[in-house]
Amino acid sequence: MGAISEYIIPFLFLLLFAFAAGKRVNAFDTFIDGSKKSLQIAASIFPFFVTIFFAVQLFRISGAAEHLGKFLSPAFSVLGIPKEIIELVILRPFSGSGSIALANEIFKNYGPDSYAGRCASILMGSTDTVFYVITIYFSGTSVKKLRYAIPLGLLICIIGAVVACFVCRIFY
Amino acid sequence: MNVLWLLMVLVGYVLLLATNPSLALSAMTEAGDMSVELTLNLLAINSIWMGIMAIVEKTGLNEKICKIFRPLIRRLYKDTSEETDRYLAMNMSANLLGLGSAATPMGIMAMKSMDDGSGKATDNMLMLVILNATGLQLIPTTLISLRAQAGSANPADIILPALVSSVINILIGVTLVKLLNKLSKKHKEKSKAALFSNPQ
Repeated sequence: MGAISEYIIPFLFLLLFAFAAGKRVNAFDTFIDGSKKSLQIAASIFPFFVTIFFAVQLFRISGAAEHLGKFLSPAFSVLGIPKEIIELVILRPFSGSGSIALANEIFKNYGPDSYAGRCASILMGSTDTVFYVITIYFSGTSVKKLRYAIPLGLLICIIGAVVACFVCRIFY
Repeated sequence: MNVLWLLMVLVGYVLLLATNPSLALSAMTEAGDMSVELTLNLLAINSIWMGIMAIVEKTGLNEKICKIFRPLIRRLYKDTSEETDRYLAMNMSANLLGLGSAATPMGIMAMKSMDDGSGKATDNMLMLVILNATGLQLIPTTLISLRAQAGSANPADIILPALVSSVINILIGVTLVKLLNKLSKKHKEKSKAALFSNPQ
């Protein structure tokens, strides 16, 4: 698997650029024009990140996230979520790098092949940082009323955790 | 969003005062550092992919990709323009290929093209966001290398269960979005009808 996938990417892009050359596309200018858009995206995303991280950092460093986890622990274990990964479940929608760091800690403390380790792995592989996605995607638009985006995003994260642990039990 | 944000901030400050107030200032300023780092990372990734996507567009390849995904797009989204369809198709294909970093700028452009200026998130926008928030990854490489480093006996054995979970999550997500869209439409129609029958 590894060997083939190494070749696929450079091959696909070789095809792309060869095709562009064949079609007499000015790749140089086109690339520049496309790249300019990335600056616009960065400019509109940045203030959103600052605002969100402000709240997330305060919440995490104050230990609030940990306490919330302990508080929700009984409810979560009913849903089949092992208590070792509760903080991860809570953090996952808010922080990509934070959740990776936390998953790593879980691996170190309980082992990557333990039930907790496996649930954590499946969770990381099948969910995403919801708030990050919502923020980025809406940042370029004029939308102020998000409607049910956030509540549904949170719900999906919890569902994702339940599904991950459920699948974990089935597979192992 | 404002409520959630304020809540987190307030709870954070209260707890810090109660436990370790000296951490407050660093927590606040770390947010700035993290944002700069993340934005620069994204800028770096996006600058390349937007360049590449522009070339894909110029060569007309995206038309062909669009054709492949059109039936799926029709089923998930309602009344999208040609331009939107193209971005949606790119976003989907990038996600499936595991090029999440290419999917994001395409998703952002798709959102922009779906903006009807009303300041409200449209049904299509919500579908796109939830679809991308459920994180379909064919091969979660970072995760696998972390597991290997932590000494797992078979780091890649979670690929299949993760895939199954992803698919389940996506199905649930899409169903919920469609349901909520239908419900909010009914709610709108009910309140419009009430308005017409009870002129006040």
